[in-house]
Amino acid sequence: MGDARQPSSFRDRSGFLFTRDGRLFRQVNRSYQPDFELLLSSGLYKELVDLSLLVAHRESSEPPADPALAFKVLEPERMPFISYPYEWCFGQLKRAALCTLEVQKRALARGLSLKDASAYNIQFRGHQPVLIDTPSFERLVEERPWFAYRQFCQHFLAPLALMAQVDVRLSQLLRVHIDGIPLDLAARLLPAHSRLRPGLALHIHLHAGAQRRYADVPLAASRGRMTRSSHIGIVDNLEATVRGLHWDPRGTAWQSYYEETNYSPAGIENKLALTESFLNQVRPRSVWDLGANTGMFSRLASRQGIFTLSIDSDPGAVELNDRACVQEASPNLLPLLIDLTNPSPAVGWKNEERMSLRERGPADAILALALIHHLAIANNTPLSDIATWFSHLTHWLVLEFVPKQDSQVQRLLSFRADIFDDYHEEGLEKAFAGAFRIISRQPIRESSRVLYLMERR
Amino acid sequence: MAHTGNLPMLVEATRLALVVPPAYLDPGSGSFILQLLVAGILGGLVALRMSWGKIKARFSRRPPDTDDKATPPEAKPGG
Repeated sequence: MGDARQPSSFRDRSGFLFTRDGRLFRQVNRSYQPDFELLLSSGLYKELVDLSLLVAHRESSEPPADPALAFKVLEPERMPFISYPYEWCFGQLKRAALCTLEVQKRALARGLSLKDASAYNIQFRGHQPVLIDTPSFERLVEERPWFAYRQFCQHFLAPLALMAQVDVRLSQLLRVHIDGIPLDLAARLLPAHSRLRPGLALHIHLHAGAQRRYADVPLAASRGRMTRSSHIGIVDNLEATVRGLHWDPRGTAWQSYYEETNYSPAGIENKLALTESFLNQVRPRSVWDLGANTGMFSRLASRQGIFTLSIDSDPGAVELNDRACVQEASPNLLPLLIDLTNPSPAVGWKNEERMSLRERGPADAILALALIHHLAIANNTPLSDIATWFSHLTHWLVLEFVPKQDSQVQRLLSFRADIFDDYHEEGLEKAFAGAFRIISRQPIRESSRVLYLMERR
Repeated sequence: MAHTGNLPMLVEATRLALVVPPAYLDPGSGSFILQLLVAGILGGLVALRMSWGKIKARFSRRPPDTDDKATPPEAKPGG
């Protein structure tokens, strides 16, 4: 039948995701039947879907992938792109955290609880976070502590606190620690003054201490009981702690890029018009804007209703881009923090749990504007390697060539030897000829730069 | 003697076994115990906030969740 079980969907025995003939399905197992029925009968499913906090599904008549265990097969609404917490900026991770807590609050009110609080269960539809894991709910056992509390702190609170109070780049610890940042590590890295904040003192510092102290104590030996109010209290306190964390981009390299660049107003107008005409020519269904900065050119695509990734390696640029997306309530634009010289690898069990960037492609079209010199000169990548890499990622390529005489390239070359003999237009066209066919070449007005439209061979 | 020594422990274990049903995620003993330790305080704060809301509602002329536009204050019984 050609079913492919999703490699990330193995921990919870409530069910699993599989693809069949290009469609995504979720098998719900019989062991999860009571909780699944409660999710629907309590009204929680409808409430969360109506509020866009939970992904919608329809019940499918498709045969299950594992009939011996199956209760139902669902066909969930598909996300346009699966992104990961280490690719989110501060604002996105914070919204994902608040979405998880909002879901938990509403679940508690209806007698259910989240049994996990993984950041990987949240995805973005445009700027809006949404829970995609329907079998994350279980009947609330009031007297029992929240089982997902540790996971929430590791996946959300610890990285947010580290980003806000130490360095925003520490979000990359999530790439190594796939089940969230260990709390003892977060506690060691956070500054002493973080202990003065009651929320961080409790949920990170005391929490890390409790983990150390009670590591070998069996759960059954723990005394005391929770009440509905204490469950609400923990979620409220976590929410206040998350809301109290802030990060603002200051001194980011790209913040004033559009103002400081050597484009004249006519030049930038011309580049926008040319890019738009190329997009109109090829009418892509998806666009990845690589090196997007704050997303000015990404919006040429997303405003036409094209799903667009706006990728940049600067946390400040991605943050500003994301804030603009929230303001615009943009449904098609997803800014992501990815370093193209070291894009997200495949990680987790069997190297399959979280996909590499390449596995999540290809896009219909790539915008590589004012990017080539960063890859070819700052990262010493041969032009032919760049061509091959792009050919793995896209069918159409809109590429801006920035020649050596451009001040941006001069800046990159100012403290190093110019070993880039083939870095000129002719060299570029020759290097890309194996992988791409040039459809159009347009000089950008009042600049020495050139815009190409290419199609993969 | 062995019987009398084990019985209270058995009773206790049974009571707590009901409190801790199995889950696919390991909640972590420390995370579990910490919640039990702070449950009273955080739960108390929630209860206090809710009672304070009720007290405020009782003493305010208009209940906070009343739709003011739909119901002018003078039209309310006893208002």
